[in-house]
Amino acid sequence: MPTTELSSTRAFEGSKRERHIIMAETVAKTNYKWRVVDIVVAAIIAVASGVIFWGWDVVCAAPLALFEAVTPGFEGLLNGFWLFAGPLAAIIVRKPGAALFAETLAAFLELTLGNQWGVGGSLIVGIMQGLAAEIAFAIFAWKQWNIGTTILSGALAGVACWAYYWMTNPGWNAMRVSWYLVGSIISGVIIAGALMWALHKAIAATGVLDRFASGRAEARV
Amino acid sequence: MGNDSSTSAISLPLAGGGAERRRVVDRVVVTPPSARKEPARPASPSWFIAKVNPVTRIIGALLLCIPMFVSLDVVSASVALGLEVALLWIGGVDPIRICRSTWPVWIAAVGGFISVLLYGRTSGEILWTAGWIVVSEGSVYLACATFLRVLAIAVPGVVLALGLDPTDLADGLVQILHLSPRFVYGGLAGMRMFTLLQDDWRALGLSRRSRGLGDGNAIQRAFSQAFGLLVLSIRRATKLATAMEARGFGGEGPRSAARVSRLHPIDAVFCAICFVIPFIALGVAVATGNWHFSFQGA
Amino acid sequence: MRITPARVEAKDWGWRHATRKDFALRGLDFDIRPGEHVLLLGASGAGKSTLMAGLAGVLGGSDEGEQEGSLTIDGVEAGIARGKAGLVLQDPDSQIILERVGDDAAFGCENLAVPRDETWRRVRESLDLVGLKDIDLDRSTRHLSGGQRQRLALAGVLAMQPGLLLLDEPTANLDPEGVREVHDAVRDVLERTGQTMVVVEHHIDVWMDLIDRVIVIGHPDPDSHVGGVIADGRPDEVFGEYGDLLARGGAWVPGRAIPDRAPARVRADGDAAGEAGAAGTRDDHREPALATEDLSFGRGFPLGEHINLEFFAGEVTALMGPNGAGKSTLALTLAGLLKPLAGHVRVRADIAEGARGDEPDKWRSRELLGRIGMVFQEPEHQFAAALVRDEVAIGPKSMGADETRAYATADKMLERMNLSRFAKANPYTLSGGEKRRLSVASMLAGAPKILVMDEPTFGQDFTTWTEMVDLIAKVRDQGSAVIIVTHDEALVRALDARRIMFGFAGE
Ligand SMILES: Nc1ncnc2c1ncn2[C@@H]1O[C@H](COP(=O)(O)OP(=O)(O)OP(=O)(O)O)[C@@H](O)[C@H]1O
Ligand SMILES: Nc1ncnc2c1ncn2[C@@H]1O[C@H](COP(=O)(O)OP(=O)(O)OP(=O)(O)O)[C@@H](O)[C@H]1O
Ligand SMILES: [Mg+2]
Ligand SMILES: [Mg+2]
Repeated sequence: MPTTELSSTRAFEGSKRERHIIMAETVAKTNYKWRVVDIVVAAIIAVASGVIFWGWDVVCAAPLALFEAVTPGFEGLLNGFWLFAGPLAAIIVRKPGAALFAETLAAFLELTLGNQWGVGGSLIVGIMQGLAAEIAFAIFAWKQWNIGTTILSGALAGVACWAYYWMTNPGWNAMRVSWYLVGSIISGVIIAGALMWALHKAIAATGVLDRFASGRAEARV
Repeated sequence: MGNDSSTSAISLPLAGGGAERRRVVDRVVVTPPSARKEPARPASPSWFIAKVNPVTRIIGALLLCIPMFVSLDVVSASVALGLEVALLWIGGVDPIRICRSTWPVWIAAVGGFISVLLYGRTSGEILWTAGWIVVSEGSVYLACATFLRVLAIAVPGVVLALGLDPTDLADGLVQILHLSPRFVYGGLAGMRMFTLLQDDWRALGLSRRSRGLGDGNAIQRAFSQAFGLLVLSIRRATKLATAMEARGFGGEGPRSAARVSRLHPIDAVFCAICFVIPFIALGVAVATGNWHFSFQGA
Repeated sequence: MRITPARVEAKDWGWRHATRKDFALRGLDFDIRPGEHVLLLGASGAGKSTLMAGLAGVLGGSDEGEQEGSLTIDGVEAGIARGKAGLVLQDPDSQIILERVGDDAAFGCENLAVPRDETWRRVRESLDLVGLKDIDLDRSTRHLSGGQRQRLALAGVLAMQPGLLLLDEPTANLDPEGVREVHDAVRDVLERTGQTMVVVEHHIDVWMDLIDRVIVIGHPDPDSHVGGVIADGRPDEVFGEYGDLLARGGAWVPGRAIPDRAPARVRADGDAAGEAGAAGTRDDHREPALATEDLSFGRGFPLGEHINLEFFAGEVTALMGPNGAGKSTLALTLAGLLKPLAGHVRVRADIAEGARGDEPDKWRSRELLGRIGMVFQEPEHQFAAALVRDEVAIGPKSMGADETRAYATADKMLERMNLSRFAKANPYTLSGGEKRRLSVASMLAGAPKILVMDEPTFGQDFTTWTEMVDLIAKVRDQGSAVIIVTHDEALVRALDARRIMFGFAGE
């Protein structure tokens, strides 16, 4: 790991500055081992997300049912609020498995708080979403932590969510299935992807991430 | 100080401060800590489920719901739901209690019903069309089946999760399923902060109020406070990780368990019940010719 | 049972936090023999907690900072010698790990693979030692008061029976009774086990009888912010030889005289004209700045009922009493932040003028500003900005001061609190005492008429403590009513505050 750190510091001094800066931001650590702080912070992000999942369950119970009932699948657009735990935790702690861990734990908390979906619609779908979100980072060998991979991660989580709901609502016709997929992906891209990237930047700016690669850009005082 | 909860003023000359000063010492009498008992939370509303290991509870809930995904028909769903409600009743959770704790499920089920009714796969006689909406005999049937199936899948899951203790579950995950204690207890510590989050949220609200940041647009304030809470909790998590390491957590060495999490015969009974219910339900559907593979055209 | 006490060696050791320019500590060289009991002294922000974290091996890896030299425990690098050292952190709030009291105390033992029966035996024993034996093992940890949490954290570490016991201000939030209990608990443990111990504490009198060595950390070069050892030796040597140096550096050396900041004497008897001067005695002619009427306060259920108290302008009132009595809860109620369960809290008409009514709990948030200020027991609950300077400027800004004025006020406050060099730092990265000062500074910047402060002086060295006392005395003399919740006897004496004692019914 010291080797990558070196290369990224050098990158700033290199002549082709722009390109190197981008590299320095995206080529992160090669250290895949989770520290205790990674685990606990991922867990707390999951917990905070789980509470929001649950809050969204309650707030959405009626509007979602209505949306579901009167539109041909546009309620997929609301899915983003159940998808963001994985991408957010992943870009903050930057370890393999962070997205899966966080999304699963968040879903579990959502489940224990009690909601309308039970084990299937909370936990199983959570694990599926976490896996999908993880894939986005895994295909880059967990080395690319930028807005692109985050958005991809959100989009894939949206696909997973769609897959689960199609599975549980096999009665839908083809049009409804497609609309739901489109809505789910859009929502994943915007809320779980782009918005979470912005949120992670805002959190980093407060300085609490000083133990993480994601939060260590600030000047020293 | 005869009265338990009153204040009185006594004048006391105090040493050190100069005897000429008239010092007033008030006393505030508060209830002693021993009188501040918090009621223990039951592990489950059902005496039977409360005895089951938390890991088994989760596994049982999965066993109950996964087989149900293969069929979409009225018979299997209503048989499963009926059995579940009956067994929960025997286990100490009466139907009224079930309805009270699962009300959101009912809303979701109604939503599912309408969505399939209007946008379900079409078959049989077309009853009504309007734009994208096509209501057919087939979609009415599927809608009823969906309604019952959502209930059959979600109701037991929700009831089984009520009162689940995360610490006991974590013990089970480590001792029974042999998951990595680092991740399980790290995750558990994070989960425990959930209880702190509520207090932190309140404390943040109070501090914002005292600092003049508590007025204005409620939604904007809620977002800003939520962001504050997220930052504070990440901060807490960082410190908590340090505290855990300071107690020797996170090393590679062996770890002992202070609490035993074991499986008992009751867990086997519970699993068997959870395993059997969907099969009876699906079996009845097949036997009565109502079996209907989920993804098959209507 | 006996534990093998650990030996600690520092060789030219240093640490720089990743976000800081300066090394917090540098060039540390010492050798602590097994079984030695060391008191670590130093001004607030000198680097004591950093050293303790280093000894416990929890400073983190090269991501989190830069290390120099070596720090070993029994010859093993401290970073990997997990379990040899048990650390009670400075902040009790962040140390509770599990949901139930018993489980939390057992956590350390589990990590060290202590057998089950032995674990529970140790847990019960250590809870007993720290005075928590009345609390059920399966009681939830979430509603323990600050002092109870501190004790629980200590119990968790004691149960680990580490060869090196590290205590970072273990008594900061405790009532005098608790301080004695914790002291006795540590003494008993040390007698029985012979562990090596390092303790950080500003009020050194507490630990004097157990200590056989004092290491003082400070800035060897007064012009730099880098910490190092400035004195090391037997207590009598150190206090004899370096007494003056220590005193100037801000240590609470034994026998140190506490300044007298009692209010100016009342002029003629019954002369209530000058508000600022009329303090120290309760004057029946004056109207209280804040009063409670048949108040019942608590969170959910009443802790105290039918409380009638009066607080006067130009007077300091101290709320004192045992941990968990409800002092903080009452303070929050007085500050208009918690709703009374019954009865009223009323503010004098001229202070309440312009606000809605005279009951602060019904006011809008803005209306509290400049009228009632609150310093929370937990400083981190209070931080609302990302930079120290912005944090202090929040109050003046929301009261309508323009940027320049607000920042001028902020800079002045930071200067007084000795925090200027952290103006651009993140509040969360400050040391324990620095955070406390920041939270006091940001409240004082709003210049409220009624100040409620929850443990304003914990974690302060003598210099910053005196500065704090002066500030409190100053606002009091300017006519504010000051209410402090505190266990700090010296503070109450120095300000000659009126005391309100909390006591449990039936005791
Ligand atoms: N996580 C951190 N990141 C950056 N700087 C830090 C961090 N923790 C502490 N510091 C800084 O390091 C210096 C030493 O802090 P430390 O907490 O060790 O002081 P201390 O001697 O324990 O003070 P106190 O008596 O107030 O607790 C301080 O200037 C502080 O601001
Ligand atoms: N957020 C909370 N919710 C519910 N109860 C609480 C909360 N905080 C504290 N309590 C309980 O209220 C009681 C009074 O607590 P409080 O913090 O007011 O005590 P205190 O006198 O300030 O003690 P200390 O000196 O230890 O700070 C305690 O029994 C505590 O367990
Ligand atoms: Mg400290
Ligand atoms: Mg308190």
